[in-house]
Amino acid sequence: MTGAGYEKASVAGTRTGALTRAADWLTQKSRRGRQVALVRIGVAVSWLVALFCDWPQRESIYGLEGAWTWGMASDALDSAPSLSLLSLSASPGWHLCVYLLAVVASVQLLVGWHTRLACVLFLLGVCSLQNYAQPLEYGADSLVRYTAIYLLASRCGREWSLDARRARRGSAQVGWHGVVVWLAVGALLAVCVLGASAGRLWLVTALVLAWAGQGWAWWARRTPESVQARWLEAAGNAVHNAAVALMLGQVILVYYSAGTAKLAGETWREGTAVYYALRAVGTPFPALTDAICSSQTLVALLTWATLFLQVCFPLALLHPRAKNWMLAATFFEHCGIALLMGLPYFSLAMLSADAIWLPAGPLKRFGTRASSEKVHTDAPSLPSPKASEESTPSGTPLPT
Amino acid sequence: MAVLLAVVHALMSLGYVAAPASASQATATVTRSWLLPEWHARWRLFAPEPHAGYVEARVRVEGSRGTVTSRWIDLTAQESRTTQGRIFLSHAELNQLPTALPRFRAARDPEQRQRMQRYLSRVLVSRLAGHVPQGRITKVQARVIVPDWTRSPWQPALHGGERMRFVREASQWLEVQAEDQDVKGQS
Repeated sequence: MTGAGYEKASVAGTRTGALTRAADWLTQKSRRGRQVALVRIGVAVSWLVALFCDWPQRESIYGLEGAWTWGMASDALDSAPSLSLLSLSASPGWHLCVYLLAVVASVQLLVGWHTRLACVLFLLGVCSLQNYAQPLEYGADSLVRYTAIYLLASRCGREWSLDARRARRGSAQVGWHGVVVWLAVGALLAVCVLGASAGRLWLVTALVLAWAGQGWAWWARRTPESVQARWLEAAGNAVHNAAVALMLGQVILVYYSAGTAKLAGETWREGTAVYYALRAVGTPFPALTDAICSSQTLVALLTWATLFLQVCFPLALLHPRAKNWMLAATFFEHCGIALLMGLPYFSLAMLSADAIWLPAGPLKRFGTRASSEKVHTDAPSLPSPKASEESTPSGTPLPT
Repeated sequence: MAVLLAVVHALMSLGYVAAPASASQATATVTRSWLLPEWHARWRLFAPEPHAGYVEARVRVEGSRGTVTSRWIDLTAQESRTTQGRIFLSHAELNQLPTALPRFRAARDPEQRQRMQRYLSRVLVSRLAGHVPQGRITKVQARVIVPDWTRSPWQPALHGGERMRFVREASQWLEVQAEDQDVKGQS
Protein backbone atom coordinates (compact mmCIF):
# COMPACT_ATOMS: atom_id res chain seq x y z
CA MET A 1 0.00 0.00 0.00
CA THR A 2 2.64 2.40 1.11
CA GLY A 3 4.80 1.37 -1.86
CA ALA A 4 1.96 2.07 -4.26
CA GLY A 5 1.29 5.40 -2.55
CA TYR A 6 4.94 6.31 -2.79
CA GLU A 7 4.98 5.35 -6.47
CA LYS A 8 1.89 7.44 -7.08
CA ALA A 9 3.43 10.42 -5.38
CA SER A 10 6.64 10.10 -7.39
CA VAL A 11 4.67 9.77 -10.62
CA ALA A 12 2.79 12.91 -9.67
CA GLY A 13 6.13 14.51 -8.86
CA THR A 14 7.64 13.66 -12.24
CA ARG A 15 4.44 14.78 -13.86
CA THR A 16 4.58 18.21 -12.31
CA GLY A 17 8.29 18.21 -13.10
CA ALA A 18 7.52 17.47 -16.75
CA LEU A 19 4.85 20.14 -16.74
CA THR A 20 7.27 22.68 -15.29
CA ARG A 21 9.88 21.68 -17.84
CA ALA A 22 7.34 22.04 -20.64
CA ALA A 23 6.26 25.42 -19.31
CA ASP A 24 9.91 26.45 -19.06
CA TRP A 25 10.62 25.25 -22.59
CA LEU A 26 7.67 27.31 -23.77
CA THR A 27 8.19 30.55 -21.91
CA GLN A 28 11.88 30.90 -21.00
CA LYS A 29 13.13 31.87 -24.44
CA SER A 30 12.31 31.83 -28.14
CA ARG A 31 13.49 28.54 -29.61
CA ARG A 32 15.11 27.97 -32.98
CA GLY A 33 15.60 31.68 -33.59
CA ARG A 34 18.08 31.28 -36.46
CA GLN A 35 16.09 28.54 -38.15
CA VAL A 36 12.97 30.69 -38.05
CA ALA A 37 14.95 33.63 -39.44
CA LEU A 38 16.12 31.39 -42.27
CA VAL A 39 12.53 30.30 -42.93
CA ARG A 40 11.53 33.98 -43.02
CA ILE A 41 14.23 34.82 -45.56
CA GLY A 42 13.51 31.72 -47.62
CA VAL A 43 9.76 32.28 -47.79
CA ALA A 44 10.22 35.93 -48.73
CA VAL A 45 12.68 34.98 -51.49
CA SER A 46 10.44 32.22 -52.85
CA TRP A 47 7.41 34.50 -53.01
CA LEU A 48 9.58 37.13 -54.72
CA VAL A 49 10.60 34.47 -57.25
CA ALA A 50 6.92 33.65 -57.81
CA LEU A 51 6.12 37.33 -58.34
CA PHE A 52 9.07 37.63 -60.71
CA CYS A 53 7.83 34.61 -62.70
CA ASP A 54 4.28 36.00 -62.88
CA TRP A 55 5.33 39.55 -63.79
CA PRO A 56 5.14 39.16 -67.61
CA GLN A 57 1.66 37.63 -67.31
CA ARG A 58 0.35 39.63 -64.38
CA GLU A 59 -2.37 41.10 -66.58
CA SER A 60 -3.81 37.71 -67.51
CA ILE A 61 -3.43 36.17 -64.04
CA TYR A 62 -4.40 39.01 -61.70
CA GLY A 63 -5.95 41.49 -64.16
CA LEU A 64 -9.58 42.24 -64.94
CA GLU A 65 -10.03 40.46 -68.27
CA GLY A 66 -7.86 37.34 -68.06
CA ALA A 67 -9.23 33.82 -68.35
CA TRP A 68 -10.41 34.20 -64.72
CA THR A 69 -12.15 37.57 -64.89
CA TRP A 70 -12.59 40.05 -62.06
CA GLY A 71 -16.32 39.27 -61.96
CA MET A 72 -15.73 35.53 -61.69
CA ALA A 73 -13.07 36.00 -59.01
CA SER A 74 -15.31 38.32 -56.98
CA ASP A 75 -18.24 35.87 -57.17
CA ALA A 76 -15.96 33.04 -56.05
CA LEU A 77 -14.60 35.14 -53.18
CA ASP A 78 -18.16 35.95 -52.11
CA SER A 79 -19.41 32.39 -52.21
CA ALA A 80 -16.47 31.03 -50.18
CA PRO A 81 -15.42 34.09 -48.18
CA SER A 82 -11.67 34.69 -48.30
CA LEU A 83 -9.51 37.75 -48.03
CA SER A 84 -8.34 39.56 -51.15
CA LEU A 85 -7.56 43.21 -51.69
CA LEU A 86 -7.94 42.73 -55.43
CA SER A 87 -11.70 42.31 -55.28
CA LEU A 88 -12.07 45.72 -53.59
CA SER A 89 -11.85 47.65 -56.83
CA ALA A 90 -12.36 46.97 -60.52
CA SER A 91 -10.29 49.93 -61.68
CA PRO A 92 -7.59 49.08 -64.21
CA GLY A 93 -4.47 49.96 -62.21
CA TRP A 94 -5.53 48.42 -58.89
CA HIS A 95 -4.09 44.94 -59.43
CA LEU A 96 -0.70 46.51 -60.21
CA CYS A 97 -0.84 48.44 -56.91
CA VAL A 98 -1.58 45.25 -54.95
CA TYR A 99 1.13 43.40 -56.88
CA LEU A 100 3.66 46.07 -55.98
CA LEU A 101 2.49 46.02 -52.35
CA ALA A 102 3.20 42.28 -52.36
CA VAL A 103 6.67 42.89 -53.78
CA VAL A 104 7.47 45.61 -51.23
CA ALA A 105 6.16 43.51 -48.32
CA SER A 106 8.30 40.57 -49.45
CA VAL A 107 11.42 42.73 -49.56
CA GLN A 108 10.54 44.15 -46.15
CA LEU A 109 10.20 40.64 -44.74
CA LEU A 110 13.42 39.57 -46.43
CA VAL A 111 15.50 42.30 -44.82
CA GLY A 112 13.55 42.16 -41.56
CA TRP A 113 12.65 45.81 -41.18
CA HIS A 114 9.80 46.07 -38.63
CA THR A 115 9.48 42.34 -39.09
CA ARG A 116 6.15 41.75 -37.36
CA LEU A 117 4.51 44.40 -39.51
CA ALA A 118 6.25 42.93 -42.54
CA CYS A 119 4.68 39.55 -41.70
CA VAL A 120 1.19 41.09 -41.66
CA LEU A 121 1.73 42.93 -44.94
CA PHE A 122 3.36 39.88 -46.53
CA LEU A 123 0.40 37.68 -45.57
CA LEU A 124 -1.96 40.33 -46.90
CA GLY A 125 -0.14 40.36 -50.25
CA VAL A 126 0.03 36.58 -50.43
CA CYS A 127 -3.66 36.13 -49.59
CA SER A 128 -4.76 38.91 -51.94
CA LEU A 129 -3.03 37.42 -54.98
CA GLN A 130 -3.53 33.72 -54.22
CA ASN A 131 -7.19 33.98 -53.26
CA TYR A 132 -7.91 36.04 -56.36
CA ALA A 133 -6.30 33.60 -58.79
CA GLN A 134 -7.82 30.55 -57.08
CA PRO A 135 -7.80 28.16 -60.05
CA LEU A 136 -4.02 28.50 -60.44
CA GLU A 137 -3.09 27.68 -56.85
CA TYR A 138 -0.84 24.69 -56.19
CA GLY A 139 1.23 23.11 -53.41
CA ALA A 140 3.93 25.77 -53.33
CA ASP A 141 1.35 28.52 -52.82
CA SER A 142 -0.28 26.65 -49.96
CA LEU A 143 3.07 26.12 -48.27
CA VAL A 144 4.02 29.79 -48.58
CA ARG A 145 0.66 30.83 -47.16
CA TYR A 146 0.86 28.36 -44.26
CA THR A 147 4.39 29.41 -43.40
CA ALA A 148 3.45 33.10 -43.63
CA ILE A 149 0.68 32.52 -41.08
CA TYR A 150 3.04 30.67 -38.72
CA LEU A 151 5.69 33.38 -39.16
CA LEU A 152 3.12 35.96 -38.10
CA ALA A 153 3.14 34.34 -34.64
CA SER A 154 6.91 33.87 -34.47
CA ARG A 155 9.81 36.16 -33.60
CA CYS A 156 11.44 35.67 -36.93
CA GLY A 157 13.05 39.12 -36.90
CA ARG A 158 15.41 38.54 -33.96
CA GLU A 159 18.24 37.17 -36.08
CA TRP A 160 19.71 38.17 -39.41
CA SER A 161 17.50 41.21 -39.86
CA LEU A 162 17.66 44.98 -39.79
CA ASP A 163 15.65 44.83 -36.57
CA ALA A 164 18.35 42.68 -34.97
CA ARG A 165 21.03 45.08 -36.17
CA ARG A 166 19.16 48.01 -34.72
CA ALA A 167 18.69 46.15 -31.42
CA ARG A 168 22.46 45.43 -31.29
CA ARG A 169 23.17 49.09 -31.76
CA GLY A 170 20.96 49.82 -28.80
CA SER A 171 18.31 51.81 -30.63
CA ALA A 172 15.51 49.31 -30.15
CA GLN A 173 13.01 51.92 -28.97
CA VAL A 174 10.41 52.58 -31.59
CA GLY A 175 10.31 56.26 -32.39
CA TRP A 176 7.58 58.29 -34.01
CA HIS A 177 8.05 56.56 -37.39
CA GLY A 178 6.99 53.27 -35.80
CA VAL A 179 3.79 54.89 -34.58
CA VAL A 180 3.13 56.34 -38.03
CA VAL A 181 3.57 52.94 -39.69
CA TRP A 182 1.37 51.40 -37.03
CA LEU A 183 -1.40 53.96 -37.69
CA ALA A 184 -1.09 53.50 -41.46
CA VAL A 185 -1.50 49.74 -41.10
CA GLY A 186 -4.49 50.36 -38.86
CA ALA A 187 -6.06 52.48 -41.57
CA LEU A 188 -5.35 49.82 -44.19
CA LEU A 189 -6.87 47.16 -41.97
CA ALA A 190 -9.93 49.33 -41.41
CA VAL A 191 -10.38 49.60 -45.19
CA CYS A 192 -10.20 45.81 -45.48
CA VAL A 193 -12.59 45.16 -42.61
CA LEU A 194 -15.18 47.67 -43.80
CA GLY A 195 -14.70 46.89 -47.50
CA ALA A 196 -16.80 44.82 -49.85
CA SER A 197 -15.06 41.49 -49.25
CA ALA A 198 -13.79 41.51 -45.70
CA GLY A 199 -12.83 37.84 -45.58
CA ARG A 200 -13.56 35.45 -42.76
CA LEU A 201 -14.25 36.89 -39.35
CA TRP A 202 -11.46 35.05 -37.47
CA LEU A 203 -8.81 36.10 -39.95
CA VAL A 204 -9.88 39.72 -39.75
CA THR A 205 -9.98 39.43 -35.95
CA ALA A 206 -6.51 37.89 -35.92
CA LEU A 207 -5.13 40.69 -38.05
CA VAL A 208 -6.77 43.38 -35.95
CA LEU A 209 -5.54 41.71 -32.74
CA ALA A 210 -2.01 41.48 -34.14
CA TRP A 211 -2.19 45.18 -34.89
CA ALA A 212 -3.65 46.16 -31.51
CA GLY A 213 -1.18 43.88 -29.72
CA GLN A 214 1.69 45.66 -31.40
CA GLY A 215 0.45 48.96 -30.00
CA TRP A 216 0.01 47.61 -26.48
CA ALA A 217 3.39 45.84 -26.54
CA TRP A 218 5.10 49.04 -27.63
CA TRP A 219 3.43 50.90 -24.79
CA ALA A 220 4.25 48.27 -22.15
CA ARG A 221 7.85 47.77 -23.23
CA ARG A 222 8.83 51.36 -22.75
CA THR A 223 9.66 50.26 -19.19
CA PRO A 224 11.47 46.93 -19.75
CA GLU A 225 11.48 45.81 -16.09
CA SER A 226 7.75 46.20 -15.49
CA VAL A 227 5.58 43.15 -14.79
CA GLN A 228 3.65 43.75 -17.99
CA ALA A 229 6.81 43.76 -20.08
CA ARG A 230 8.11 40.55 -18.50
CA TRP A 231 4.74 38.87 -18.89
CA LEU A 232 4.66 39.98 -22.52
CA GLU A 233 8.12 38.48 -23.03
CA ALA A 234 7.03 35.10 -21.63
CA ALA A 235 3.76 35.12 -23.58
CA GLY A 236 5.64 36.11 -26.73
CA ASN A 237 8.04 33.21 -26.21
CA ALA A 238 5.14 30.80 -25.77
CA VAL A 239 3.40 31.99 -28.94
CA HIS A 240 6.67 31.83 -30.85
CA ASN A 241 7.46 28.33 -29.63
CA ALA A 242 3.96 27.05 -30.40
CA ALA A 243 4.33 28.40 -33.94
CA VAL A 244 7.75 26.77 -34.25
CA ALA A 245 6.29 23.43 -33.15
CA LEU A 246 3.58 23.78 -35.80
CA MET A 247 6.16 24.58 -38.47
CA LEU A 248 8.17 21.51 -37.50
CA GLY A 249 5.05 19.36 -37.71
CA GLN A 250 3.87 20.89 -40.97
CA VAL A 251 7.02 19.80 -42.78
CA ILE A 252 6.54 16.21 -41.62
CA LEU A 253 2.91 16.27 -42.67
CA VAL A 254 3.68 17.57 -46.15
CA TYR A 255 6.40 15.02 -46.88
CA TYR A 256 4.53 12.12 -45.34
CA SER A 257 1.24 12.77 -47.12
CA ALA A 258 2.97 13.44 -50.44
CA GLY A 259 4.97 10.22 -50.03
CA THR A 260 2.12 7.95 -49.02
CA ALA A 261 -0.09 9.32 -51.81
CA LYS A 262 2.64 8.28 -54.25
CA LEU A 263 2.60 4.73 -52.88
CA ALA A 264 -0.84 4.36 -54.40
CA GLY A 265 0.49 5.12 -57.88
CA GLU A 266 1.50 2.27 -60.12
CA THR A 267 4.28 4.21 -61.85
CA TRP A 268 5.89 5.15 -58.54
CA ARG A 269 6.00 1.53 -57.44
CA GLU A 270 7.29 0.31 -60.79
CA GLY A 271 9.97 2.97 -61.01
CA THR A 272 8.89 4.87 -64.12
CA ALA A 273 7.20 7.89 -62.50
CA VAL A 274 10.17 10.24 -62.82
CA TYR A 275 10.13 9.65 -66.60
CA TYR A 276 6.61 11.07 -66.82
CA ALA A 277 7.15 13.74 -64.16
CA LEU A 278 10.15 15.17 -66.00
CA ARG A 279 8.02 15.56 -69.11
CA ALA A 280 4.94 16.81 -67.28
CA VAL A 281 5.77 20.40 -66.43
CA GLY A 282 8.54 22.58 -67.82
CA THR A 283 11.74 21.36 -69.46
CA PRO A 284 14.38 24.06 -68.98
CA PHE A 285 17.15 21.76 -70.28
CA PRO A 286 15.57 19.39 -72.83
CA ALA A 287 18.87 17.64 -73.62
CA LEU A 288 19.49 16.85 -69.94
CA THR A 289 15.93 15.62 -69.49
CA ASP A 290 16.31 13.34 -72.51
CA ALA A 291 19.63 12.03 -71.20
CA ILE A 292 18.09 11.11 -67.84
CA CYS A 293 14.95 9.66 -69.43
CA SER A 294 16.98 7.44 -71.78
CA SER A 295 18.32 5.42 -68.84
CA GLN A 296 15.78 3.05 -67.35
CA THR A 297 18.03 2.34 -64.34
CA LEU A 298 18.58 6.00 -63.55
CA VAL A 299 14.87 6.78 -63.75
CA ALA A 300 14.02 3.83 -61.49
CA LEU A 301 16.65 4.87 -58.96
CA LEU A 302 15.44 8.47 -58.91
CA THR A 303 11.81 7.36 -58.57
CA TRP A 304 12.46 5.04 -55.65
CA ALA A 305 14.83 7.51 -54.01
CA THR A 306 12.08 10.15 -54.09
CA LEU A 307 9.59 7.68 -52.63
CA PHE A 308 12.03 6.60 -49.91
CA LEU A 309 12.91 10.18 -49.05
CA GLN A 310 9.33 11.31 -48.62
CA VAL A 311 7.92 8.31 -46.80
CA CYS A 312 10.93 7.95 -44.47
CA PHE A 313 11.31 11.66 -43.70
CA PRO A 314 9.34 11.52 -40.40
CA LEU A 315 11.33 8.47 -39.23
CA ALA A 316 14.68 10.07 -40.00
CA LEU A 317 13.79 13.00 -37.77
CA LEU A 318 14.02 10.72 -34.73
CA HIS A 319 17.78 10.53 -35.12
CA PRO A 320 19.77 13.80 -35.34
CA ARG A 321 22.41 12.56 -37.77
CA ALA A 322 19.93 10.72 -39.99
CA LYS A 323 17.86 13.92 -39.97
CA ASN A 324 20.77 15.99 -41.26
CA TRP A 325 21.50 13.50 -44.04
CA MET A 326 17.81 13.53 -44.94
CA LEU A 327 17.79 17.33 -45.07
CA ALA A 328 20.83 17.30 -47.35
CA ALA A 329 19.08 14.78 -49.58
CA THR A 330 15.94 16.92 -49.81
CA PHE A 331 18.14 19.88 -50.67
CA PHE A 332 19.57 18.06 -53.69
CA GLU A 333 16.17 16.66 -54.62
CA HIS A 334 14.68 20.14 -54.73
CA CYS A 335 17.63 21.56 -56.66
CA GLY A 336 16.98 18.82 -59.21
CA ILE A 337 13.27 19.61 -59.34
CA ALA A 338 13.97 23.32 -59.81
CA LEU A 339 16.45 22.79 -62.63
CA LEU A 340 14.85 19.88 -64.46
CA MET A 341 11.17 20.75 -64.14
CA GLY A 342 11.23 24.54 -64.17
CA LEU A 343 9.87 24.82 -60.62
CA PRO A 344 12.31 27.13 -58.78
CA TYR A 345 9.50 28.75 -56.78
CA PHE A 346 8.14 25.41 -55.61
CA SER A 347 11.60 24.11 -54.68
CA LEU A 348 12.54 27.26 -52.80
CA ALA A 349 9.26 27.21 -50.88
CA MET A 350 9.79 23.59 -49.84
CA LEU A 351 13.42 24.17 -48.89
CA SER A 352 12.63 27.24 -46.82
CA ALA A 353 9.94 25.32 -44.93
CA ASP A 354 12.50 22.52 -44.36
CA ALA A 355 14.94 25.04 -42.91
CA ILE A 356 13.13 24.93 -39.57
CA TRP A 357 14.64 21.43 -39.09
CA LEU A 358 18.23 22.53 -39.70
CA PRO A 359 20.72 21.73 -36.91
CA ALA A 360 21.63 24.60 -34.60
CA GLY A 361 25.42 24.13 -34.56
CA PRO A 362 26.40 25.16 -38.11
CA LEU A 363 23.83 27.97 -38.10
CA LYS A 364 25.26 29.29 -34.84
CA ARG A 365 28.83 29.17 -36.18
CA PHE A 366 27.69 30.93 -39.33
CA GLY A 367 25.73 33.48 -37.28
CA THR A 368 28.60 34.29 -34.89
CA ARG A 369 31.06 34.58 -37.78
CA ALA A 370 28.72 36.96 -39.59
CA SER A 371 28.10 39.04 -36.45
CA SER A 372 31.80 39.16 -35.52
CA GLU A 373 32.53 40.44 -39.01
CA LYS A 374 29.80 42.94 -38.52
CA VAL A 375 31.25 44.06 -35.19
CA HIS A 376 34.59 44.54 -36.93
CA THR A 377 33.11 46.67 -39.66
CA ASP A 378 30.83 48.52 -37.27
CA ALA A 379 33.55 49.19 -34.72
CA PRO A 380 34.87 52.51 -36.13
CA SER A 381 31.42 54.04 -36.37
CA LEU A 382 30.33 52.78 -32.96
CA PRO A 383 32.90 53.57 -30.30
CA SER A 384 30.53 53.00 -27.36
CA PRO A 385 31.32 49.78 -25.45
CA LYS A 386 27.63 49.17 -24.85
CA ALA A 387 27.03 48.15 -28.46
CA SER A 388 29.65 45.40 -28.46
CA GLU A 389 28.44 44.27 -25.05
CA GLU A 390 24.96 43.86 -26.39
CA SER A 391 26.06 41.97 -29.45
CA THR A 392 27.21 38.98 -27.39
CA PRO A 393 23.89 37.95 -25.80
CA SER A 394 22.35 37.73 -29.27
CA GLY A 395 24.35 34.54 -29.79
CA THR A 396 21.99 32.62 -27.51
CA PRO A 397 22.47 28.84 -27.43
CA LEU A 398 19.86 26.89 -29.34
CA PRO A 399 18.59 23.36 -28.85
CA THR A 400 19.44 20.83 -31.52
CA MET B 1 -3.96 29.61 -25.03
CA ALA B 2 -1.39 29.63 -27.83
CA VAL B 3 -0.43 26.06 -26.98
CA LEU B 4 -4.06 24.94 -27.00
CA LEU B 5 -4.57 26.58 -30.38
CA ALA B 6 -1.42 24.92 -31.70
CA VAL B 7 -2.49 21.47 -30.47
CA VAL B 8 -5.99 21.84 -31.93
CA HIS B 9 -4.52 23.09 -35.19
CA ALA B 10 -2.05 20.21 -35.41
CA LEU B 11 -4.86 17.69 -34.83
CA MET B 12 -7.03 19.39 -37.44
CA SER B 13 -4.19 19.31 -39.97
CA LEU B 14 -3.73 15.60 -39.35
CA GLY B 15 -7.46 14.96 -39.69
CA TYR B 16 -7.59 16.99 -42.89
CA VAL B 17 -4.87 14.91 -44.49
CA ALA B 18 -6.41 11.67 -43.25
CA ALA B 19 -9.98 12.61 -44.15
CA PRO B 20 -10.20 11.46 -47.79
CA ALA B 21 -8.73 8.04 -47.06
CA SER B 22 -9.70 6.71 -43.68
CA ALA B 23 -11.51 9.19 -41.46
CA SER B 24 -15.25 9.70 -41.31
CA GLN B 25 -17.36 12.30 -43.03
CA ALA B 26 -17.78 14.07 -39.68
CA THR B 27 -13.99 14.43 -39.33
CA ALA B 28 -13.81 15.85 -42.83
CA THR B 29 -16.52 18.42 -42.05
CA VAL B 30 -14.94 19.51 -38.76
CA THR B 31 -11.41 19.77 -40.12
CA ARG B 32 -12.54 21.60 -43.23
CA SER B 33 -14.52 24.15 -41.24
CA TRP B 34 -11.43 24.76 -39.06
CA LEU B 35 -8.88 24.95 -41.84
CA LEU B 36 -10.58 26.37 -44.94
CA PRO B 37 -9.95 28.57 -46.80
CA GLU B 38 -6.56 29.64 -45.41
CA TRP B 39 -5.25 26.13 -44.89
CA HIS B 40 -6.71 24.80 -48.10
CA ALA B 41 -4.13 22.56 -49.76
CA ARG B 42 -3.50 19.39 -51.63
CA TRP B 43 -0.20 17.70 -50.94
CA ARG B 44 -0.62 14.92 -53.47
CA LEU B 45 2.06 16.44 -55.63
CA PHE B 46 2.59 14.26 -58.70
CA ALA B 47 0.57 11.54 -57.01
CA PRO B 48 -0.76 8.97 -57.41
CA GLU B 49 0.41 9.27 -61.03
CA PRO B 50 2.92 11.94 -62.03
CA HIS B 51 1.55 13.09 -65.37
CA ALA B 52 -1.31 15.53 -65.74
CA GLY B 53 -1.86 14.30 -69.31
CA TYR B 54 -2.06 16.05 -72.62
CA VAL B 55 -4.96 18.44 -73.03
CA GLU B 56 -6.59 18.43 -76.45
CA ALA B 57 -9.47 20.59 -77.58
CA ARG B 58 -11.65 21.13 -80.61
CA VAL B 59 -14.27 23.72 -81.47
CA ARG B 60 -17.39 24.22 -83.53
CA VAL B 61 -17.23 27.35 -85.62
CA GLU B 62 -20.09 29.11 -87.40
CA GLY B 63 -18.59 30.69 -90.49
CA SER B 64 -19.27 31.25 -94.17
CA ARG B 65 -19.27 27.47 -94.80
CA GLY B 66 -21.87 26.79 -92.10
CA THR B 67 -21.03 25.00 -88.88
CA VAL B 68 -17.58 23.40 -89.01
CA THR B 69 -16.03 21.12 -86.40
CA SER B 70 -12.28 21.49 -86.12
CA ARG B 71 -9.80 18.64 -85.58
CA TRP B 72 -8.46 17.89 -82.09
CA ILE B 73 -5.63 20.29 -81.33
CA ASP B 74 -2.92 19.29 -78.83
CA LEU B 75 -2.77 22.35 -76.57
CA THR B 76 -0.15 20.85 -74.24
CA ALA B 77 2.31 20.45 -77.10
CA GLN B 78 1.57 24.01 -78.17
CA GLU B 79 2.17 25.25 -74.60
CA SER B 80 5.39 23.29 -74.13
CA ARG B 81 6.84 24.92 -77.26
CA THR B 82 6.64 28.29 -75.48
CA THR B 83 7.84 27.01 -72.09
CA GLN B 84 10.69 24.80 -73.30
CA GLY B 85 14.15 26.00 -72.32
CA ARG B 86 12.82 28.40 -69.67
CA ILE B 87 13.23 27.91 -65.95
CA PHE B 88 11.06 30.73 -64.58
CA LEU B 89 7.49 29.79 -65.46
CA SER B 90 4.43 31.72 -64.33
CA HIS B 91 1.48 30.27 -62.46
CA ALA B 92 -0.55 30.38 -65.66
CA GLU B 93 2.03 28.51 -67.70
CA LEU B 94 2.36 25.83 -65.04
CA ASN B 95 -1.22 25.28 -63.96
CA GLN B 96 -3.83 26.89 -66.17
CA LEU B 97 -4.14 24.31 -68.92
CA PRO B 98 -3.61 21.09 -66.92
CA THR B 99 -6.05 22.00 -64.13
CA ALA B 100 -8.89 23.77 -65.98
CA LEU B 101 -10.73 20.60 -67.06
CA PRO B 102 -10.28 18.63 -63.79
CA ARG B 103 -11.43 21.66 -61.79
CA PHE B 104 -14.51 22.06 -63.98
CA ARG B 105 -15.36 18.38 -63.60
CA ALA B 106 -14.80 18.50 -59.84
CA ALA B 107 -17.16 21.49 -59.36
CA ARG B 108 -20.42 20.30 -57.74
CA ASP B 109 -22.23 23.47 -56.71
CA PRO B 110 -24.21 24.67 -59.79
CA GLU B 111 -23.04 28.28 -59.52
CA GLN B 112 -19.43 27.20 -59.18
CA ARG B 113 -19.85 24.74 -62.02
CA GLN B 114 -21.08 27.47 -64.32
CA ARG B 115 -18.12 29.66 -63.32
CA MET B 116 -15.62 26.90 -63.95
CA GLN B 117 -17.25 26.14 -67.30
CA ARG B 118 -16.80 29.76 -68.35
CA TYR B 119 -13.21 29.64 -67.10
CA LEU B 120 -12.50 26.43 -69.00
CA SER B 121 -13.92 27.76 -72.24
CA ARG B 122 -11.98 31.02 -71.88
CA VAL B 123 -8.76 29.11 -71.23
CA LEU B 124 -9.32 26.91 -74.28
CA VAL B 125 -10.57 29.59 -76.67
CA SER B 126 -7.68 31.93 -75.86
CA ARG B 127 -5.23 29.17 -76.79
CA LEU B 128 -7.12 28.04 -79.90
CA ALA B 129 -7.28 31.44 -81.55
CA GLY B 130 -5.41 31.30 -84.85
CA HIS B 131 -5.50 27.50 -85.04
CA VAL B 132 -9.16 27.01 -85.95
CA PRO B 133 -11.28 27.92 -89.01
CA GLN B 134 -12.47 31.52 -89.36
CA GLY B 135 -15.81 32.42 -87.82
CA ARG B 136 -17.60 32.63 -84.51
CA ILE B 137 -16.72 29.89 -82.04
CA THR B 138 -19.99 28.55 -80.65
CA LYS B 139 -18.88 25.42 -78.82
CA VAL B 140 -15.73 23.92 -77.43
CA GLN B 141 -14.84 20.46 -76.18
CA ALA B 142 -11.79 19.29 -74.23
CA ARG B 143 -10.26 15.95 -73.33
CA VAL B 144 -7.24 14.72 -71.42
CA ILE B 145 -5.04 12.02 -72.94
CA VAL B 146 -2.78 9.94 -70.73
CA PRO B 147 -0.09 7.47 -71.75
CA ASP B 148 -0.48 3.78 -70.93
CA TRP B 149 0.97 3.57 -67.42
CA THR B 150 1.07 -0.23 -67.47
CA ARG B 151 3.67 -0.35 -70.23
CA SER B 152 7.26 0.71 -69.74
CA PRO B 153 8.17 3.76 -71.81
CA TRP B 154 11.34 1.95 -72.97
CA GLN B 155 9.57 -0.99 -74.56
CA PRO B 156 10.68 -1.14 -78.21
CA ALA B 157 7.14 -1.09 -79.62
CA LEU B 158 6.57 2.31 -78.06
CA HIS B 159 9.70 3.91 -79.40
CA GLY B 160 9.19 3.13 -83.05
CA GLY B 161 5.53 2.32 -83.28
CA GLU B 162 2.41 4.12 -82.25
CA ARG B 163 2.23 5.20 -78.65
CA MET B 164 -0.64 3.80 -76.63
CA ARG B 165 -2.90 6.64 -75.56
CA PHE B 166 -6.05 6.71 -73.50
CA VAL B 167 -8.70 9.34 -73.06
CA ARG B 168 -8.84 9.74 -69.29
CA GLU B 169 -11.53 12.39 -69.13
CA ALA B 170 -13.47 14.49 -71.58
CA SER B 171 -15.99 17.30 -71.37
CA GLN B 172 -19.22 17.59 -73.29
CA TRP B 173 -19.59 20.24 -75.95
CA LEU B 174 -19.63 23.47 -73.95
CA GLU B 175 -21.43 26.59 -75.13
CA VAL B 176 -19.09 29.55 -75.64
CA GLN B 177 -20.63 32.94 -74.89
CA ALA B 178 -19.81 35.87 -77.15
CA GLU B 179 -18.01 37.73 -74.35
CA ASP B 180 -15.75 34.75 -73.68
CA GLN B 181 -14.22 34.77 -77.15
CA ASP B 182 -11.86 37.58 -76.34
CA VAL B 183 -9.45 36.96 -73.47
CA LYS B 184 -7.00 39.74 -72.74
CA GLY B 185 -3.45 39.45 -71.56
CA GLN B 186 -2.84 36.01 -72.98
CA SER B 187 0.56 35.53 -74.55
